[in-house]
Amino acid sequence: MEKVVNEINQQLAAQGKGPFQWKSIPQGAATSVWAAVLAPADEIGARYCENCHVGKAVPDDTSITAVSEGVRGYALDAKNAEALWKKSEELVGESF
Amino acid sequence: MTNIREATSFGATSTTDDVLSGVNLKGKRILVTGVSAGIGVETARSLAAHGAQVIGTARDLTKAKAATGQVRKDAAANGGSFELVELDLAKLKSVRACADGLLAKGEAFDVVIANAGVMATPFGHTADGFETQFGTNHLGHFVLVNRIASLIRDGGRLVNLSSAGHRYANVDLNDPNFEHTPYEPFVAYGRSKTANILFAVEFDKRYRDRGVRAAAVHPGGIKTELGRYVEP
Repeated sequence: MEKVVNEINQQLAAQGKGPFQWKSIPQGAATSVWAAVLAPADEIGARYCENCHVGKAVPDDTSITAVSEGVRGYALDAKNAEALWKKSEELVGESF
Repeated sequence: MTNIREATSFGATSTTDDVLSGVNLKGKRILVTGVSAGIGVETARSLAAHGAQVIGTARDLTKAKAATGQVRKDAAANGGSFELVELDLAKLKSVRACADGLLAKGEAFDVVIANAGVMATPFGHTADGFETQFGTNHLGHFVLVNRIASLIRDGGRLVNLSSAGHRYANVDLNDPNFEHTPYEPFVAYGRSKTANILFAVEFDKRYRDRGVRAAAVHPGGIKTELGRYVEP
């Protein structure tokens, strides 16, 4: 894990940014709680949230560091979601 | 839900207490999977500390009981409640038994938080023969949440814990169990975390007509037991 963090810090330093900070556990649980009981439903439905806000989609050809924000398009793709649902039903032997 | 504020008020350094400041969750019943360590415990604690009735799941109830002393204290001091139920997401038999128990009780949920997960495990399989991370993080929750979907109240929510790690890999629906692909722990983690988002996307589509919405969340980099399989 330290090796990963060192690599991330080198990337950040190259961008002129300060070193990576671990979140505390109450900071880590904050986005779950925000999405669960506070955020407007229409804002978060079918979305990816991070740092207590809705994350933006990052184009497939744009590289992102381990600590930059953003969600890949394939993870929000409606057809991909439907295909995973069907495959999951097949794997577990139940239809929902 | 009624406690709506400006979404821009919070950020990377906000804590559960910041987010829930002034929020009263009395009468809200919330299921949180994975409450024997890490953010699951804190999620349960903060919600119960604001008056919610929290039901936490864990594979090892003895470990979970030891880890949640503060959850029970904060619940008792603030009109909330906390109880534990057994759930091993790596065994569909256990998942189905847990769902059956919740259905038999018949009490509705306002929110389900699919929090439990494993990361970068050595190659292995769940009891039902699925690759460990996809089987545990995705398929276990897929069966649990779908089986109890009728218990989620109109206007309720599903929150799936994903991760920035979803960017390691898209799902592979042709080879979900790495039968023809060399196993890479973080690729398997990435697939499972992408699946957690996609499950929220499709669940949201299927249930939004009765106001049930689903979202995925990335908690951020936190030192928890989730990292126990990562080489130091």
